[in-house]
Amino acid sequence: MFTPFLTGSIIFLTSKSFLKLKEWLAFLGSLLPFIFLLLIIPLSLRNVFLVTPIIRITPDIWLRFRADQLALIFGSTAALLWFMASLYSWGYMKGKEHLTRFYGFLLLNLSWTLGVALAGNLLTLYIFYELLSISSYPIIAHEETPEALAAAKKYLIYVIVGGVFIFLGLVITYFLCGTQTFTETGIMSLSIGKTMLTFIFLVFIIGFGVKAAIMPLHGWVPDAHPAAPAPASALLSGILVAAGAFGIIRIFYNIFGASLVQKLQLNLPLAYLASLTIIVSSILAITQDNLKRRLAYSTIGQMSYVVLGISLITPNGFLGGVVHIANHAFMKGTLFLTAGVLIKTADKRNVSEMNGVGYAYPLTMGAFTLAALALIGTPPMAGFVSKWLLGVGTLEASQPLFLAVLLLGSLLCAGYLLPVVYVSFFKKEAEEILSEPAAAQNKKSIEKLEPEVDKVPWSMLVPIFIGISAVIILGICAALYGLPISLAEVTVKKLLSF
Amino acid sequence: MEVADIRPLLAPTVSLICAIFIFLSGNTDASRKFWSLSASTVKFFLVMSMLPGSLKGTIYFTQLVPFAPGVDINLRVDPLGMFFASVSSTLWLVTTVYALTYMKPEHAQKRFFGFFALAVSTTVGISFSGNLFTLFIFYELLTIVTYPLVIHEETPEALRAGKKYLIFTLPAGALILLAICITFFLTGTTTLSQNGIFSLKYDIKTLAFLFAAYIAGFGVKAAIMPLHSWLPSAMVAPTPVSALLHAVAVVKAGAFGILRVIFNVFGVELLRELGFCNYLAYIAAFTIIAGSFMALLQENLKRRLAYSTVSQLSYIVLGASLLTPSGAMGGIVHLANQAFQKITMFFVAGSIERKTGKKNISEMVGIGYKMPFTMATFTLASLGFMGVPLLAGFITKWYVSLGALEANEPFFVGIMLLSALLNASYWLPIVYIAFFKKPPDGDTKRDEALSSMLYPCIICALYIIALGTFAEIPGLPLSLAKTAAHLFLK
Repeated sequence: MFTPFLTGSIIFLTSKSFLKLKEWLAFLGSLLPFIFLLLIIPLSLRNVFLVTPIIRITPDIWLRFRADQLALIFGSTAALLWFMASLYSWGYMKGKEHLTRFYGFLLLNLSWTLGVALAGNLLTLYIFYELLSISSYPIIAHEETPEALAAAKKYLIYVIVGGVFIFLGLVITYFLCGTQTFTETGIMSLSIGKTMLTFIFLVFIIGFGVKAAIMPLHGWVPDAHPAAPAPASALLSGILVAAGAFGIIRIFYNIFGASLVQKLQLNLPLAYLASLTIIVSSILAITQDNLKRRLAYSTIGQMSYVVLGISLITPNGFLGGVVHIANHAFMKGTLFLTAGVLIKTADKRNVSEMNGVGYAYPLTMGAFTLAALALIGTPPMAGFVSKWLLGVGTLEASQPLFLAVLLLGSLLCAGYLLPVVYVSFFKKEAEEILSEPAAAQNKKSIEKLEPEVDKVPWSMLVPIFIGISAVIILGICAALYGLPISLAEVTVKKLLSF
Repeated sequence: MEVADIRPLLAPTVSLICAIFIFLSGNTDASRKFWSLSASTVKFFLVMSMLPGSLKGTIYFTQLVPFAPGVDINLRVDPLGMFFASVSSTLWLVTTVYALTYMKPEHAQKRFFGFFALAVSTTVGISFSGNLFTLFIFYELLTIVTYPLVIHEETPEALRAGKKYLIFTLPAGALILLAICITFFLTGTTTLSQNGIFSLKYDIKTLAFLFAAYIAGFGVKAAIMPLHSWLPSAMVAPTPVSALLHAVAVVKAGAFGILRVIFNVFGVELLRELGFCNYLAYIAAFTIIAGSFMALLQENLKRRLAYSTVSQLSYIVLGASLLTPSGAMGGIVHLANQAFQKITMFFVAGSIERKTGKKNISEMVGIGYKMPFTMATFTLASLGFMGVPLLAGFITKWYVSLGALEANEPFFVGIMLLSALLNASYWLPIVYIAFFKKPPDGDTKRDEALSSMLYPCIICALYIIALGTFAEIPGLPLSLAKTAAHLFLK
C-alpha cells in the first residue's frame, strides 16, 4: 500500500520538466495497489486477513493495518477509481499549471485513502482520514480561481471541524475501553452507560457525517465538486465522501457492534436522517443547472443510501449499503468524468447549454446515459443491485417506509438525470433561434464535425469505458466470486451474528 | 419435463446482437435491412423450434449467473411464455418488412432500427422470464428502450408524449419493484410457479396491498383505466412503432405481467378464496366500455385505434380475472388475436398516411377505391374486432363469454356483447365511407400502397382468418393458450 506514497514522493522530487515521467508514475502508482488488493481478495474470502506489524509511535499510539473484507471493498474500489482518474488526468490536465502538485497530491491522497481503508484500529483510521482531508485541499483548490479557493476553504473548515469531533470521540473511546482495535463484535459494552455511549456515537456520527455529507452537514459538497478539476471531482464524490460513510460503518460495526447500537436504538434516528437527506438532496439536485453541482447533490443523496443501508442492521441492508459504496463510486465517477469531457473540449458546464451535445459526443454521452440509468436503478446495472438489496433490507428491518423512500429517491434521480440525457440527445442545438440560412450552415457544420475520437484524447475515453464496464459487470454478475457482494457476504455473517 | 437448453437465452440475444450491429454499421439501408431481416428470421425459427416441445408440456430453461443473494436471472419457457414469444417474434418479422419500407423517408433510421430490435429482445426476455425478478429486469429495460422510439419524430408533440410515457411507466416500475421486494421478503422466492407462490397463511391485508400494487404497476402498460392516458398520446410515434409496440410489445407486456401475477404469483386457488379478482373484473369491464366510447369520439384514425387498444386489452384482463378455464383461455388467446387484428389496422393506417398523408377519418372518404386491398384487410380486422364468426375476435368473444358463465357472472357476457356493438359502431363507419362513398375529387383510379407494405397487411389478415377458422390446429395460438390455461386451472 505504500507504492502510491513512494511514487507520489518521487513526483514531488523530480523536476518540472519530467512531465511524462510523472504521468507514468501516477499511472503505475494507482495500478499497482489495485493489483495488490486484487491478489489479497481470495485470501479474504476465506477469512484470512493480512495484518502488518504494529508500528508504535508512543506506548499508547500505534498504527495497525488489516485487510479485512470491508477494507478490500473500499480499497480496491478506491484504487481502481484512482487509476481511472490518473489516466484521465493525462488528457484533462494537459496544458494546465502546477501539474507536479496535482499528480503528487493525487497519489498521496490515494495513499491516505488506502490507509483509511486498511486501518486496523480507530487511531490509524483517524490519522489517515485527517491526512486525506488536508491533502485534498490542493486538489480542490487546483484551479486557483476565486471560486475554487473559496470552495476549498469552505471544505477545509468543514472537514477540520469534523476531524475535531472524531478526535474527541477517539480519545474518549480509548480512555473508556483501553483499546481501539476494530473487532467484529465491537469494543464498547453497555457497562459504559447509555448516555455516554449515545454521546460518543453522536460525536462520531457528526465527525464522519461531515464527509459523508449527511444533511445538514453537507454544505461543502455542492461547492467543492464543481470547483475541482473533473478527475478530482470524480474522486471526491466516489471516494472522499465514501470515506465518511466508511468511517460510519467502522464505528457502527467494529467499534460499537451491531447489537449494541440496536440496543441503544441509535440506528433508526440515523436512518430517518439519511432518508431525509435522500429526498431533500434529490429535490435540490433537480433545481441545479450546473451539471457538476447537480451531480454533487446527487452524491449527497446517494451516500445516504449507504448510511441508510448500514443503519438498518439487517443482512441485506448491510450488503446493499456496503456494495453501494463501490457501485456509487463507479457510477458517479463515470458521470463526473463525462461531465469533464464536456468542460474540457466544449467548455459546457450547465445543463441548459447542452442541447444536442449527444450528436457531437455520442460515445461520451452514451456512457453518461448508461451511468445515469444505472444510478436511477435500471436493471441489470450496478445501481439496481444496491436498490434491490437495500429494499429487501428495509423489509427485513420491518421498515417499509424506507422502501418507499428508496423508490421515491430513484424516481427523483430519474427526474434530475434523465433531463440531461434528454437535452443532449433530443434537443437540437439552438436551431429555432437561428435564421434559415444560419440554420442551414449550422446543419452543415454539424455534419462536418470531426469524429469524437479525434476531439477527446483516448486517455479520457478509456477511463470512462472502464467505468461503464465496471457499472455493467457489477450489475449483471453482481454475485460473482470476488466482486463486492461476495466479500460483503462473508463479513456480514460475522458482524450480525448476535 | 424440464430440459436445460440454450435457446431461451439465444432468442432474446439474437435481437440484442442485431441491435449492436445496427448501431455499429447501420448507416446504409442495405445493412439495416440485412441485419433486421436476418435477425428476425433467425429469431422466428428459434422460437418456433421450441413450439412442438412446448405443446407437449416440455419446459425449456436456461440458468444464468446469480444476481444477488437469493435471486438469479433465470429464463424458462412455459406454455404461456411460449405463447407470448411466438406472437411477438412472428409480428416482429412482419413488422420489420413493413417498417423497412415505411421508414425510408425518415431520419435517424439507425437509432430507430437499433432500438426496435432492443425492444423485441426485451419483449422476448419478458415472455421467457422464469421469475419475477427477471421479468422486472426486462420490463424496465423495455420501458427505457422504447422511449427513443416513441419520440422518434422529435416534434414538440412527440417529446411531450415521450415525457408523459416515462412519467407513467417509471413510477409504475417502482411500484412493481416494491411489490416484488415484499414478495421476495415474505416468501423467499420470486420464481413463477404453476400454483402461485402465495398461500392463505400470509396476512390478507398484505396480500391485498401486493395485489393492488402489482395490478397498478402492470396496469399502466396494460392501459387499464384510469392509468391509460399515456397510450393515446404515444400514438405520435411512427406507425410501425405504434403497431408493434403499442398494439403488441409494450401494452401486451403489461397484460402479460397481469396474467403472470394472477396465475403464477397469486395462483387461481388463492385468488378464488380472496376474491380480489372480482374487483379487477369490474375495472376491466369499465375500461372495455369506456375505452370504446372514447374511441367513438376520436377523429384521428390512430387515436381511435389507440382507444380501441385500451378497450381490447381489458378483454385479456377480464378473461384472466374470471378465474375459469374458458375465461383464462379466452384472455390468453386474445393476446394473439388482438395483436394480429390491431397490427393490421395500424399497417393500414400507416399505408394511408404514407400514400395520401391523411390522418383523419373524415378525410378518408372513398379511400377504398384507391386502395382496395389495403382497405379490404382493414375491413377484415374490423369484422374481427366485432366478433364476426370465423374470424379471430369471435374465438375470444366465445371463450370469454363462456368463462363468464362458468364463473356465474352473466353480467360480463352483457359487457362483451355491448362492446361488440360498440366496436361495430366505430369501425363500420370507416369501412362505409371508404367503400360506399365516392372520393370527393371523383378520382377512383387504383393507387395501392407499395407491395412491401401491402403484403404484411395481407399476411396478417389471412392470419386473422386462420385464427378464427382453423383455431384448433396445433401450433396456432389457441392450442398453446389451451395448454397454458389447463396448467393453471387443473
